[in-house]
Order: sequence, then structure tokens, then C-alpha cells
Amino acid sequence: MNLLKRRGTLTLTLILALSLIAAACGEDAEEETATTAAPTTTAATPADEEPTPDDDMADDDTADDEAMAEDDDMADDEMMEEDADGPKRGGDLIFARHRDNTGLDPGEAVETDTIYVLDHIFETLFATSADGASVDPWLASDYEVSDDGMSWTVTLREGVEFSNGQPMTSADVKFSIQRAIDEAAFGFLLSAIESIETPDEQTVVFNTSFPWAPFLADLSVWAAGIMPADFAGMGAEEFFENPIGTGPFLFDEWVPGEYIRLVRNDNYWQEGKPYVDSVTWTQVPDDNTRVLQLEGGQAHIVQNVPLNLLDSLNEKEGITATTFPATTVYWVSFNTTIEPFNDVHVRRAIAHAIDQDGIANAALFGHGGPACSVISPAVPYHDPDTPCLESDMDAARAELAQSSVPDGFSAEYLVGDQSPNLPIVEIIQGQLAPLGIDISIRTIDPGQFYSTIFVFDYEMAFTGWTMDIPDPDQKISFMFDPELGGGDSYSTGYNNPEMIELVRAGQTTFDDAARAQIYADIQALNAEEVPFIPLVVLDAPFAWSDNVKGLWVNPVGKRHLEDVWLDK
Amino acid sequence: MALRYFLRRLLRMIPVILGMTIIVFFMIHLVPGDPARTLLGPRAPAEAVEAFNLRWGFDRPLHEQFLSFLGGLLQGNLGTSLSYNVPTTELVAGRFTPTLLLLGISGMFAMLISLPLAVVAALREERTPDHVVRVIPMVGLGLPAFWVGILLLTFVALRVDWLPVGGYGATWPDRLIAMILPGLTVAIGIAPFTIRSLRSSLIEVMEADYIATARAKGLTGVRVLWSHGLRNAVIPTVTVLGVNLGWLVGNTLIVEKVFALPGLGALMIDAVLERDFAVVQGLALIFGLLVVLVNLLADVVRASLDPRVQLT
Repeated sequence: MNLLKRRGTLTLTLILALSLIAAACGEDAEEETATTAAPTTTAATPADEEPTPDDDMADDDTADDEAMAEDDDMADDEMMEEDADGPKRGGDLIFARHRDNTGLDPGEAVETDTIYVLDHIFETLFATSADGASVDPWLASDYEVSDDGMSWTVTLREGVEFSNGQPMTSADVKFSIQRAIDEAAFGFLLSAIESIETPDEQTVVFNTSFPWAPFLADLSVWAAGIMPADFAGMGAEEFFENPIGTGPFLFDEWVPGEYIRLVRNDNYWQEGKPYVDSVTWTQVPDDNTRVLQLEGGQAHIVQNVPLNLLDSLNEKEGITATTFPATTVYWVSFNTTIEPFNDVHVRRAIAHAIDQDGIANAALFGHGGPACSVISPAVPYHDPDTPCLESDMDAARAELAQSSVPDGFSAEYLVGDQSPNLPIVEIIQGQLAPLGIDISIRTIDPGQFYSTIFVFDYEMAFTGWTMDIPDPDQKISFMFDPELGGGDSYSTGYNNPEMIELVRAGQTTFDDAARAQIYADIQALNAEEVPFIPLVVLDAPFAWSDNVKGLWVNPVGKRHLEDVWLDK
Repeated sequence: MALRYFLRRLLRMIPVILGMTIIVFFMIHLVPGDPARTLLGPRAPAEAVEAFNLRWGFDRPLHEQFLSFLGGLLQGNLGTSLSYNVPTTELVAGRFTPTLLLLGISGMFAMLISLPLAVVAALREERTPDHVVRVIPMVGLGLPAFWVGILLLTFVALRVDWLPVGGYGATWPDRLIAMILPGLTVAIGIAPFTIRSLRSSLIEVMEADYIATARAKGLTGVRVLWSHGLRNAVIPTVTVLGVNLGWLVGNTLIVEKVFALPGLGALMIDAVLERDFAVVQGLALIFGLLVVLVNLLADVVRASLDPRVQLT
């Protein structure tokens, strides 16, 4: 008896230990915490269209925006024409993903998969276009910016109603944006707003405390979703149990750990949409199981498909598996506050030694590609002509010879233990060996990665960024402005007055060509000084069954499921 | 007599549970990792992180946090989930059924697999069937559960229309059907233990004098095997199953993930990754209780099967 009991207790302790370890090792640890830095699923353009990452993008005036909005509509229409009969109504769309919602309040939401569901309940005044190149009026119909760039007058779209039938007015907008500024986890994006005025029911005026170029992009953040003023007379808690928004779908049911279901909003302002009766997001944590569910017809759309399965899955009958362009870029970051990484020659030597093409081919199975700029091609102001340091071992040796450590050194490379980080770091370890740089890899549970780099407890680290909004400022200021960006230059300690000046100019320059030049200069300066060595651009892998029509995902990850219909 | 025994066993669980609570609390808090950063992301301003820590009491010394956790525990309060912002008890209650169902069905499958195989092996001791039975299931021991699960999904669920490819189901018949493959996966992992145990005790039992007596009475082979052989041989196997339950619960973590079952294991994995302290602590406690209780249950079952075992 005694023996038995002791064994019971022992086993118990073992499971607890094992479960901690097993969980820590789970490759699905994945990203997804906080849309910002997490390498997330994000992508663009109607399914069949090739993305065209043009650089002369982004909105500057209203006329352009209107034109853009029309273009998008046309793109959608063209896609629909594949089927002679046009979109069919009805059906329950099943979308399998690896994790569950964490709540229904866009103010509290920080995690992408929660946000992508809430996007269908709450909508924003401006929204990212299908190709990710611009921010277009959505619940707004028009806007004007004053000459000093400090006052934005936004006209609201006519005929927009909340799902309870109440019309949307400027009072609702003021309430929602003010609440986001005061309470939302991502309210800091709106911190330039000083006051909000509502001259009439259809007009809202935002006054900013300084000229703020990324303003419209910031208004497109989910935290600025529009909800009825004063929660339509309810308390916040009651409201978010059954939220009311202007979106194409209404909240129906949420069984944590299993699924969340939204049903059609019959009051939706886009005539005829949504097409499907309901959308159910199911939680299927295992990558392989999600794919098998698609094959078995149990799910219509699956996300985060393992890159190595993508091609073989695409060959299966009745299934399309592909990637959408996304904004995720991974890079090597350096703790520039310590030797030898405070030496620009050391960083440049490493940049010359790294072969991005090799990494992209080996670790991403041909999906995604080598990165040269810190701004992904799917983001406005990406400069395809960024003068990157070529992969060249002789140049690397020459740089290292000029440095403080001409014969090489050993360093620790910190990496969050999740796919696809580790293989990439191992390749880099091999590529640096010929220089006499001896890399030891320190893997760490993704849950503790950021808290480790934030206290500079590292030498080199594997980091990256996924955008929430189609404007580079959010990440560029975080990466290069140690003070205002609020993160010690993404925990590198990089502090270059020339760079900081450029970052701040980017925030206050309204002229599009001038702003593009500023961001080109920033990308070039990073390529020269390499506090961050861009490695690869990651695309967002999706697969869906052929009866799903009209699916598109833009580079910041928005899926407009009101455009999707099921062909039975 | 039996009641007193039962109460004493329950009392003895208290120090075990307390010790476990302490270990779990300090384990999850001492593992580096900051729930504020994990949840709010790297871009969250320092004030937001501070507010978060203040709200959840993470700014207080660890021993104070432990005492308040213990205080809540005594009132049946397991704290509030950081990521879901609902009471842990509520979160856990909704996840209990799938795990219990999985455990029950796995145990049943394990016995269904073990009984016939062990009987064949025992009756053909040291001959080919015995060797086959002793070797093949050991393969199951070496196969990781997630892999067995994926194989079953690929080669069975995808081809059999009425079996779902993972997922739980809305109605009870659906749920039972959904448990078939996960139950089998867990059972394949545990069967090697139960088969071996059942086989060896069966061999031992069949050599006992009372079996010879039963045979001499002229009872048929089947009768002898069933009412005298198995009835006695199964007793140690029940204990083996009970003792291995801890391991079984560990396996359900993985199996629930592969089969997309909304059980406690799946919740545990998410909670550990997100440093959702309250949920990890609560679940560890529940798993612990489960193992201790099942061990007790195994002893009770054993006693009821074997009149020689006295519950004193």
C-alpha cells in the first residue's frame, strides 16, 4: 500500500513537471500574443491576384481614396464573376484556427485571432484596402485635413445602423474613440488626439496636439471600433456579453475552447452582404489536425497551415492552399549596448556573412522570401532599392578585420522556441562559423522571450514584427526612437540622432513623396548601420475548400468574411 | 470499517494536496516569464504593464501572493483567469466533461484490448502467441501519442464517414463517437502495462490450487478461466491502471490537443504558455485531486473484487 501511494504522488509530481515542459515545447506556442511583434498571419489581395507591392502608395487626399475604394469594389466584383450565377446566399462557414478568442471587447483585445473575430462585429471609420497599400473610408464617407495638419473633419457614411437598428451618429463615434483613448490596450495609437467635436450628427472633428501623418491608419486600428454611445444604455460588462456593432455579423454563441459563432446582421449597411448565414470559428490547436479537418470537409477555411505541407495540400483535389502577402519581417537584433555589438563593423560583418536566400529556401519551403528592408514589401513606403549588404564572405572578413575583434568571438543567440525560428538561427550559426564567430544558441519559452530582451539580458536575438495598421510609423518609431518609441529601440539600445530625426519627420510630413523619401532614408540607414539585419519576409498560409468563394486576406490580416460565400 | 478507512484516506490527502499546491504555485511563479508582457505584447507602454501588475497583484511579494491564493482556495475560489478575465472555476467547469469522458473511455478501451490479448498469451505461455502479445503492444509504448493520433485521424477518420476528424460535437451521441479515436489513442499507450500485468497474474493464478480444484470439479475451461482465473487475475491490473492514471492524465494533454477536444489538458497548455497563473494553479490542483481520488477508487474496487483485501 505504502509503495503504491508513494508512486502515486511521484507520478503526480512528474505529470505536473511534464505538462509544464510539454506545453513549453509545443510548437504551437506561436506568436499571436499581441499582434504587434508576434509573427502573425497577415496577408493581402483577393485570392487569385498577385500582390503588387508598389511603393508610390498610401493615401494623401480624399479624391484618391474614393478612387481606391472603387478599385477594391471592382476587384471584388471581378472575382465574383468566376461564377456566372453570382454569389449564393446561405450556409454556415467553418473557420478552423489554432486558438480561441479571449474576449469580446476590442478595448481589451491584444491578440490577433480575437481581433479578427471582433472585426466582424465592430467596424472602424477607416479600413485597410485589399492590397494593404492604403487606408480607405469605411464607416466614414469622406474627410478633410486642415492646412496645419492638426484638425481632421470626418463625414460619416449615410445609412449605417447598429445591429439593434439604432442609426450610427457622431455621438457614437466620439464615445467610442474617447473610450479607446482612455481605456484600450492599444489606445496609445490614438494618443495624438487632443479633443473630439461633433458639430452635427454626421460630422466628427478630431483635433490633434501636433501634426500627425499616420492619423487615418491609426483610426483603422481595431481598438477604435465604433459602438453605440454609453453602450446603448447598458453597463460595459452587460454590453460585452452580447455586443452591438455595425459589422456584418452578430454575436451568437461562444463555447470557450471549442468555438465562437457569429450570425448574419440583417441591418448591415452593405446591401446584400454578408452572404453566409453564420461563421463559426473552431479552435483546433494541432496544425496537422486542422489540415485533416479541411480534407475531411469538417472545416471550410484553415489558417496557419504548416509551410512544409502547403504545396502537397494544394495538389489535393478540391483544396486551394496558398499564402497571402503579410507584413511580418524577421531579423537579427543586437544588444548594441555591449561589446562587440556596439561596433558597427561587427554588425556589418555579420550582415555580409548571412545569406538570406538560403534561409528563405531552407526554412520557409519557398513561401515568403529573403528580406532586405525592415519594412515588408506589403507595407506602404517599402523601398525595393534599399542598399542592403550583400552576402559576401570576403566583404565580411574585410569588415571584421577593421573591427575590435578581427579574429572572431563567441556570442549567445537568444531565440523564442517556436516555429520557424530555430532552423533559421541554426542556419545563421553555420553561416557565421567561417568568420570565427562561434554562436551558441539559447532557446527560451516564447512566454518569457520579450521580458528577457526588455531587460537587455541577451547578446543577439531573433525578433520580428507584424503590423496592425498599414503605416510603417508604428514599428519604425518603436525600432529606432529610443525615447518616444518607448522601447529602447526594440531593446537594442540603438541611439542615432540622425535616425531619430528621420523617424520624427516621418510622423509629421504629410506630403506623400516627401514621406516616401524619409522612409527610404530610414531603410537605407538601417542597411548601413544594421542594428537590425532583416532575414526573411513571412507570408500568411491559408487553405480552403473549393466551395469557398471570395476569400481575401489583406497584409494586416483582415479577413472580410462578409464577402465570402459558399457554393454547395 | 470501510467508512472509517475511507475518511482516513481522505484526511491523508490533505497534506498531499497542500504540498502539491505549494510546489505548483512556486514552480509557475519561479519559471521566468512575465504575464503582462506575454498578454499585452512588447509594444505596450510601461504604464499599461504597471497597471496590469497592480490589478492582478503581481507587484506584491511572492509569499503574500501565495497566502492570498491559499485564502481564496479555502473559500473555493481559484482566482481569475488573466487571459479570459473570468473565474477559473467557471472556466474549468466547462472543460471538465470532455476530459472525464476521455479518461473513462480510454480506461474501457484499455481493458477491452488487454483482456483477450492477455488471455491468449497466458494460455499459450512461452509459445508464439505469447511472444507476439508480449512484444507488439510494447511498440505502442514507444509511439508518441500525438503521432498515433495523427495516424488514426489520417487513416481512419478521413476514410470512415461517421467518425469526425477531431472536434467534440454538440449532442451526447456525437460526443461519444468523437471520443472513439482519442480513447483508442490513449488506450494504445496504456495497454502494454495492463496486458503484461494481466498476463503474468493470469499465469500465476492458473497454477493455483483452486484452479486445479475447479478443473477437478469438472467445470469447462471457459468457466474456469472466467469465474476463477480472470476474476482473481484482474485485481492487480486494476491497481496498475489506477497507479498509471497519473501518466494517463498527462497523455490526455497531448491527445486533447491533437483531437481538438475542449478539455482540461488543452486549457492547461494554453494557460502555461500565457502564464495564466490562476488557471495553471487551479488545474494542477484538480489534476492532483483526480489522481489521488482515482487511486483511492482503485483501492476500493480492488477490495470489492478481492475479499482478502480488508479496508482498514
